[in-house]
Amino acid sequence: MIVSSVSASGTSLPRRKVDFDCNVFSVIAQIFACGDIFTKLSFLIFGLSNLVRGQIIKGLIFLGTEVAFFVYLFKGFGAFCGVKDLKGLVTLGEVEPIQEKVLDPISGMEVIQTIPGDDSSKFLLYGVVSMLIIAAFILLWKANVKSAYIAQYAVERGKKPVSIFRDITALFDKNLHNTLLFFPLVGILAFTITPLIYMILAAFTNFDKNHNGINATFDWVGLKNFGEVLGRGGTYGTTFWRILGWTIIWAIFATFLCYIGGMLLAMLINRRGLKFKSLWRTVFVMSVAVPQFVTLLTMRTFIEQNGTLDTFLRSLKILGKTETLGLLDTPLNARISVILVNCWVGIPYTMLIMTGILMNIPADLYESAKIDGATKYVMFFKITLPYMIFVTTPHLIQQFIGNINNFNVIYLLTGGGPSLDPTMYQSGSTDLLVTWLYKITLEKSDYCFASAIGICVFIICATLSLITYRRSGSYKNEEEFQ
Amino acid sequence: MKKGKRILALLLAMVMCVSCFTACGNSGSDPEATKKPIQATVPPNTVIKAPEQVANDGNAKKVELKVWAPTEEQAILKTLCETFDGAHPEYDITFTYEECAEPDAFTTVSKDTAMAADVFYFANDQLSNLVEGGYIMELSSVIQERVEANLDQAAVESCKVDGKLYSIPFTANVWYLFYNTSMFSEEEVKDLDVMMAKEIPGCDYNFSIPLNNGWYINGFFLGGGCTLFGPEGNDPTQCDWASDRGVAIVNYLNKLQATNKLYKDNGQADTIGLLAEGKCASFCTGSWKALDIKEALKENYGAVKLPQFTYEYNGEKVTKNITPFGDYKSIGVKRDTAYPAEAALLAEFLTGDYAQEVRLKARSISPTYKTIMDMADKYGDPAVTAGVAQTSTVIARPTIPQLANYWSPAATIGACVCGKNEKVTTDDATTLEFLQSIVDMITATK
Repeated sequence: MIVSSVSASGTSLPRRKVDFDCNVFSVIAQIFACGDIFTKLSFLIFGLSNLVRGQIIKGLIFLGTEVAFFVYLFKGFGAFCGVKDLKGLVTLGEVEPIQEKVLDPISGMEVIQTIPGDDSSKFLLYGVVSMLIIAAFILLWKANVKSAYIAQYAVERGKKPVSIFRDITALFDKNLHNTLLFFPLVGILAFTITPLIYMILAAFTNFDKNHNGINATFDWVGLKNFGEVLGRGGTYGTTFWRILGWTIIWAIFATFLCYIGGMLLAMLINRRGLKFKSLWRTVFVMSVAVPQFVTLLTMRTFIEQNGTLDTFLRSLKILGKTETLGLLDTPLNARISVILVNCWVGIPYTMLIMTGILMNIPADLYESAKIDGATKYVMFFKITLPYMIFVTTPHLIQQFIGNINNFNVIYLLTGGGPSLDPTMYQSGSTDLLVTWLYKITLEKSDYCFASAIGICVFIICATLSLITYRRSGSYKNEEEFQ
Repeated sequence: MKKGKRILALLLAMVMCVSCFTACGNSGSDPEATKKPIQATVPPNTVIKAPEQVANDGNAKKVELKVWAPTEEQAILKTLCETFDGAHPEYDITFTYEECAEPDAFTTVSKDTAMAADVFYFANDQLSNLVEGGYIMELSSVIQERVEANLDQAAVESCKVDGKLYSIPFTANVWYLFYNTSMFSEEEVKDLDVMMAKEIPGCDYNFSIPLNNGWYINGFFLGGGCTLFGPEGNDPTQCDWASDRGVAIVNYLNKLQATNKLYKDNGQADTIGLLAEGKCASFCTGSWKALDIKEALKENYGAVKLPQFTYEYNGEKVTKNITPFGDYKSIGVKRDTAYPAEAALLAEFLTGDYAQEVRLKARSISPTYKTIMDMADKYGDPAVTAGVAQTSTVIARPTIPQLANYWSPAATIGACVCGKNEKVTTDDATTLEFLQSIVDMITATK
């Protein structure tokens, strides 16, 4: 990148000494080599170079931030203090809560009070925040070094360094992207990245119902939780592998049935000669208009034991007056039911996408095939299907991963049930890893295991999608169909 | 023009951020619920006098207390709390009322202890979790003495862990039998087998129970003569359900299911609709559904203690009462509250004789305070009478934390019976094996 304030000048200037296109470390090394005494000192005293060259406000901002950072690090602002937080991240708290009897002066009653110990969960959180602040400080240091050199370079060429007002106006003009991205970035850092790091770190502690930071501190335990979850012996291990098996079966069926169903439906509607095409499409898309959770809850009351379907069949005398179809009562029935209901929810979406793609296939392909004497089946397998798969592979992968984590359908339809096997820890026959994880967190407060399971799910999803995506036609021959 | 667009884009980005913040805001209870003026329904003819109201003196201590109670309690809660404030001139209390159902207390308190209420209502099966998690305050010996002297002993015991009192009980959390008096006579509801054998025209189900729930299934096992965690209920390694007797009881449940007159309530009390239509004749649930059932059955409303049942064991017929373990609902104080003495006194007041009488009259909630229990017998609400009668026969709920392992494995028995699963319908050996796997989970150390 060429520095903005400099590039505007003419060609007779001295050759630029620092190449900003190199990698970060090399840029910093070059700056150190080319910098004068003030620039070099700026490596330690932020903004010095800017101050010396007349960029007073910019220099003061850099210097102020540096001072604030060191105050944070050693003295602290309120509850936040860098060194203390980093130490806390290592120890995760050492003081356990103590009970003591205190005499309440007004009621004259002895009260049993607990002096809270160290809340490990806060130590972990503050530790994560301090790490992020330190990371931000390093980025600021880099910006400061760069800015020091740019100021020096401008003066060397006899130019006036850029004023703070021009920098600010640039934020609304040339550098508008920085301004626009600033707030979303802060939001993502605060509400996505920080909790994410926190949760990931929790997987390496014994943060469970017996060590929740309130009754006792928790501690780092390394990979022990992963051993329990993946090992075949324990309660978690046995349950994990069985749920994983069902999760994969579910994802395969849920994804491909929706895909095939949506494709067939789209082709059916797209057939030449079919009347009221848009009416048909509208009819099927109607189900998309109903919020998914409403559909699912309705379906549940429809098919559950003694639900609408049972009552209806009883009134037709197909079932005896208290008989039931039991669609959600045995593992096999429940599994088939959730897959079918998922088709009901998913096929219209796929149909919409497929319709668009079908209309995009060049008609001349079909015409020339017809001239060559190809049958409908050949045309489907040689033209339509390859084209569809080529375009929709990324969509398929995304659907597959989405189904592995399809919380709504399972939780709202069966709640993971039926639970007929007592050896499945806290789970039923249709529980996916993600609904199981939810139960462990909310009903058992075993946060560390839940977190470990979450990481395993992520690794499975990431690996699967990377491998399949890399092997897909859409990735390898991006240009082929254009 | 271009600049205008940029400013617009900037604004949009900011709006995005702001909405990001607001989305993370209030996730607690509905603020409207606490703002609404609540109509007090305290009946005027309460026998126990409300404590005398005294004006605050000049240097009253400023106290802020947050109280969590279930929705149905809100109406009387506010009046009770203000009566408490009025009776204590030494405190100037500001109350915050929020809704939290008794079964959800543990989950809600453990989510964020800083935001949790100082005083909260909960069902006692969560007590060991609350104590273990460090969320609930041990009550002082002064209060313990008073509570032990005035309240039902079994109720007080259920609020203790290792001999220490953590909360004060205000009602029994037991289930008993509600029935339609036009379909069953008082004699018939004493025996489940008689009830099931009766042909009632127009009625599909003679008996409804949420059988796939650990709370209800234990009525047959414990009543039938099995024990959970040993005879004292305190040995985490003991559970004798995987035995010939256990198999005999499962076979009895299979027989019930085979009549096709047993309705498996889904836990959201869908039975009440069937009761109203006359398609179901009786329903096992507790006082918390009493008012709804009264409305459904109208003049045919009846409630009684659980019936007996007869199962075959070693070729003999054994007749026992359905006897679940009984539990209580109580009021506790958050461990880290800023006002431990005041919160404890409020909990004591909300479970005292005045509050219990108000609650009995306004909500038909059976009491635990000895003097009010005497009054409840003469009170005339069948649900209250049945509740009191049932409470005197229940088996005390085990107080050991191992109980947490009990619920979901036990629920699978009911689910298998209702689904006529081959695990319980094949033969006795298969059923025994199934029961053994359940016992292994219940007594597992992890």
